[in-house]
Amino acid sequence: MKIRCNREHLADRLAQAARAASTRANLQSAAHVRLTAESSEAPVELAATDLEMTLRVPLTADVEEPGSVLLPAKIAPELIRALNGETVELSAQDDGRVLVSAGSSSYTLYGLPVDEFPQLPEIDHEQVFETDSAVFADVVGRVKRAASRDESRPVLTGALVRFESDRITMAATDSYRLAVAEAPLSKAPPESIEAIIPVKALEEVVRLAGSDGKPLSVAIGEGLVTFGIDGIWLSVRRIEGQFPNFTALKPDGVEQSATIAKDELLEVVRRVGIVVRQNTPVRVELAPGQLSLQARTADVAEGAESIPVAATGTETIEIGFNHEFLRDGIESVPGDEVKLSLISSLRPALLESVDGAFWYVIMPIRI
Amino acid sequence: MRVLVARCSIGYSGRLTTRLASGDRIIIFKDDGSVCVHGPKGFKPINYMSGPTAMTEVDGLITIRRPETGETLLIEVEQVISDDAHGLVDTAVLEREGRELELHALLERSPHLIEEGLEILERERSTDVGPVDFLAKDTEGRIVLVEVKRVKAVVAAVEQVVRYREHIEKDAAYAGARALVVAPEFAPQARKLAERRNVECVVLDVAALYAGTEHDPTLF
Repeated sequence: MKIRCNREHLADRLAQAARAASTRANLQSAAHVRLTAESSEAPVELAATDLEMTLRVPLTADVEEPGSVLLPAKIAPELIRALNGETVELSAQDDGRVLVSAGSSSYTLYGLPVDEFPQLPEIDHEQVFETDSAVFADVVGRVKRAASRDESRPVLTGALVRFESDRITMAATDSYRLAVAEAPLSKAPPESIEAIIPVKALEEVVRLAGSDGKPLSVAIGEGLVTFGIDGIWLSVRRIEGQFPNFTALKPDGVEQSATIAKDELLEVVRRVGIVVRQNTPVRVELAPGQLSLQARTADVAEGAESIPVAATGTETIEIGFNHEFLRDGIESVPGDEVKLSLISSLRPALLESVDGAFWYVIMPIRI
Repeated sequence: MRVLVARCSIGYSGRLTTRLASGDRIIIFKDDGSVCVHGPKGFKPINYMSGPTAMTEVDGLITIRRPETGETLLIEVEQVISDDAHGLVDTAVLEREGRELELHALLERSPHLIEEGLEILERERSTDVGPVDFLAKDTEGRIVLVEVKRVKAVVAAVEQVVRYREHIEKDAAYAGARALVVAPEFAPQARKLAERRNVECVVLDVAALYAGTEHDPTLF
């Protein structure tokens, strides 16, 4: 294998692919990026996988000799970025090592034999449909923080992604809070389809999509979901299992609610959060004319804030929330206003956008 | 995953060289490249190699090589009893109760399980002699240092909390601090030392700590 290409381009593309490489010590071959140059006509492919998520990234290069090599994912992008010269040449040696030359620099990377690289999942191009990357990214951004980080319940580490003919719905929950976002789609699959997708992979898709509105290709297969953007393909294993029936978790029988300016509420919540420690609650009291927040950390500090509001009910309800969960919920609501609805101090509370396209259920904690 | 049950002899070279004469064995080839050889008795594998590995199989001779270390396992198959491949899926993670950090988090929310009226002031309070699990205050306003053990507390746990107390009492504001070891069980020597060093032993009711009423309520 021998290729020559623009050094910056190779460094960028290697760094992109390396994000899927494994960091686990017991999977040495997966800690590499596989570079495959099939012919001088076909684009070169960089691929990496941690066996859960796989990234395939195209590279523009002049192929002098076809072939494949494995490049160490940790150092190859950094080394190539640091080299001098506009052009870099990679050539495989007989012993599997890769000679990297640019300008007056010459380095040898000790890759592994290419046949030790894990087998990559096939992309089923027949199932691919296109959708709006900006809408997808917005919806991921609104729900991702509610997903669990606890690997003992894998279903909750993913988001349920549902495509229907005219809309996308996404839901994530860690059992203490639930975020649900809906948005209209101008492009969608011919039939409704859903999958539980690891949030880590969704965040990677959003990162790849960037902000320039390129179309997003999606294929939801039996065990695998694939996203394609700008020639880059990300495949990830679907999380198997039953996602909680999230529509049944939306509270009803609201006793007291108020619509509050989001920026003002967020400012107050962030400020009162300064005196909160991880497990101490923020006390929220919603009365007919006022929303009050209080927090106290024993022997450190305490504080209270209030905002005038026009509440819909006559009750005064006092409730405790985890500060981080409350702040996440408010920050995730789109638009300028947040509607807060309470039933009682022991029942879940609801934060939602005025148009109802986003809602966030949060369990109270004892105060 | 492939499960091969076969009469075979096995040679290993790597950290040492071993030779296992002919016998009936279960050989498991896992999808991540790990290989385990089990005999008819015992729970431990006779031979094993963690993945990734590279495998070749020619005329009943299976060669498994671990490139990372250069170890090689040679299996000479004399008679195949069964040879099956299975597509197995298992995403579950072994859940263990009682991890120390989890215990800390639960105790922070329910300090009354250590002592009625106890107020946690700080978790993982750092000192020059290490972090103390909880810095707390009792109902009389005295400072309480709490060391939590998830299994049986031994002498070292008592010595640990004594060191914290000696250190923290250098600050006059903390004079007269109480020292507690909290654990589900105590070694007799630990109890004796605790008595001599004026350290209180609190037996932790783990079941109560994990009982649903002590957790924050969840949506489902």
